[in-house]
Amino acid sequence: MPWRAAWRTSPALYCAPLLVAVVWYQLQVAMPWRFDPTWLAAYSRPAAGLFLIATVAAGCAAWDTSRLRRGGLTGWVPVRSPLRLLSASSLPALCLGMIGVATALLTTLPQTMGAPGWLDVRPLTVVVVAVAGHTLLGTALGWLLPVYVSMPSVLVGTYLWHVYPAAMEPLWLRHLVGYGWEYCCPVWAVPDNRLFWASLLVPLGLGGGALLLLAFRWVLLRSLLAVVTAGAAIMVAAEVATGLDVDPTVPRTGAMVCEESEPTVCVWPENVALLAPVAAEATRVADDLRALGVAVPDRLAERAADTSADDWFFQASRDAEPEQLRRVIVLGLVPQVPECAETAGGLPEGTVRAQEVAWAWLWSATGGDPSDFPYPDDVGHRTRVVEEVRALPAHGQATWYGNVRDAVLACDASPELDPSA
Amino acid sequence: MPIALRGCSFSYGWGPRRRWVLRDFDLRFPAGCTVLLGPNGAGKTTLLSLAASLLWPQRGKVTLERLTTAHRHDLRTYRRKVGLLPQFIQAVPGLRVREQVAYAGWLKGQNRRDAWDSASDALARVQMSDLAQRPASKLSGGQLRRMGIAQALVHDAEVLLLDEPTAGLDPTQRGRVRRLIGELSETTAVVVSTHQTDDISRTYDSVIVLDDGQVRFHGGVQELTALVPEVQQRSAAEHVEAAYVQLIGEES
Repeated sequence: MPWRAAWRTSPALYCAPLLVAVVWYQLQVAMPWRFDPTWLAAYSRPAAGLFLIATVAAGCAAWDTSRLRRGGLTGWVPVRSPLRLLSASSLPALCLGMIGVATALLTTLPQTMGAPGWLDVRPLTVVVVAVAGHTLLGTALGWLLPVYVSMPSVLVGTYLWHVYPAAMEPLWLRHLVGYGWEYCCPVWAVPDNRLFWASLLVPLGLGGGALLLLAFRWVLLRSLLAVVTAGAAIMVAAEVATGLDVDPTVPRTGAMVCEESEPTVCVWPENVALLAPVAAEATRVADDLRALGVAVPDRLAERAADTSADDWFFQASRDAEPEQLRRVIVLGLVPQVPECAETAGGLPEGTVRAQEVAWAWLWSATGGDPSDFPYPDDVGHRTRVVEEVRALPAHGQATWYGNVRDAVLACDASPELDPSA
Repeated sequence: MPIALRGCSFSYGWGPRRRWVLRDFDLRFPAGCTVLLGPNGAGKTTLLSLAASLLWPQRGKVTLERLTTAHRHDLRTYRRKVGLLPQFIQAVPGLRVREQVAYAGWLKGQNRRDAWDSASDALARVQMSDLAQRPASKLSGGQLRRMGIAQALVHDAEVLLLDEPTAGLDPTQRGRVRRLIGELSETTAVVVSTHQTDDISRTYDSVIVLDDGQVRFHGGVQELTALVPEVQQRSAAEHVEAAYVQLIGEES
């Protein structure tokens, strides 16, 4: 088909402006960033538009090839292989898909933070392969099935394929369709390789199956090969994804940028702008607590691969106010639920409340209002306990905090919150 | 005419529903303009589809010069040399006439530019240059047939296989298509399948009569008409029809 005719007659041409607008709306308005827009998060964001992009591209491909089917093309005894002629006819649909991906990227990239050196091509690879795979599948079904079967199958099927697993259990099912990339990743985390392979293998299998459907002449053979190929890819992907959490990330490794203050503050390179304000607030918090006799770690850092429950770490948005920074810095001193809670039959009763009261006391001891607390439950009791502790001399406060902290970390008994006990 | 079928068998369906259309079939198409006559269900379309390599025989082989459709490496060259007008020609939705003909050329292996240029020539040969920019879906039945012929010859096929090119056309259009076939046969080998016997004596060099998968007659028009005695006041077409009916029987 002459290129001009291929483009002029393809629905891809008319769908492109609509897809651009909808993808922009989806990523800019309907689905705000969950984490700070690091480069990795920006590269992963197009996955959030995948259900739209892949559906429209596959639908256009199915329509384009169904036109050739309706034109009785096989009766023209072509010299060129079905693969060659159908790949040419579905090129506009594939380009439409890539325009969708590019729109998603262009919507997110201007908001990124930090240097662009931290490049991870995995999420983009998955999105591009997914769009191509579904476009190929649409091409094959448009060619092999009557239009009144292929079009609804492709449009509804591709859409449900992308949105349903995200709402199903087990949770790792969602990673087969790339849903895990939508919320990738906080600055201290990188995607688990298993997410990459699982979400890549499935569209590869679907695209491979579609190619086999087009490549062979014998219906039984090509159907069998296509089903086996797609099925095998999905099974391997499921095996890879089994056990992945809803948040399929692993802590990030690499060097942080540090400021030798008191305490030493370390952040990831993307957050270097946070270094000075965090160091200022951390010094203030450390001074306040040391004045009460509370031991404060020498180092405050963002979360990383080697962070343990004993470390002092924080996570903050790049545009956080000083008070918000202080809040997350103080939160980092709250004794974390230790691993023994998972192996020793769960948390002892009252542990979570003890963490909340400890946080409220730390907040009060560093200049905050104990009633100004993110958890609204049982504010009266918490405030009363904190006021009683704050009424103690400095040494008494430090001892109370030390006892609560040790009890939470030991996880063998309910922490005692009453300062008079 | 270099296309030959040797020992070809072809059936539709499987098991107890299997229906043989051709069995151990041998035929060498003669050169020039050949008409393939036969009643509905005689196997004409299957025979042309085998000759065009649209279908493959379950036994035997189809050859054109030294090329055989069974060999994958021959198939491309074979298909380049053969053009087929299918019985039902359809417009590709959205395409204009010249675009559809150029597309047929590209499918036959021409590059896009050559196909675009050849489409113009092919449309001129079927006298459709004035309709080149019309949407193919807006063509009448006769115009669709002519566009189909243009598609079949756009890549300079050596052999044209036309399946029922005049079916469903009014007498004026039929005459036009027949004249076109006559013109084409001056430069290209043509095989036309039909069950209409009118005007055969003026258009075709040789006749093959096919019935129930068997060749009942293969020879010149004169030889066909010689099968029945001449009757005064019978036109040439009626004479051919009488011979044809005698060959295949009244019931067919």
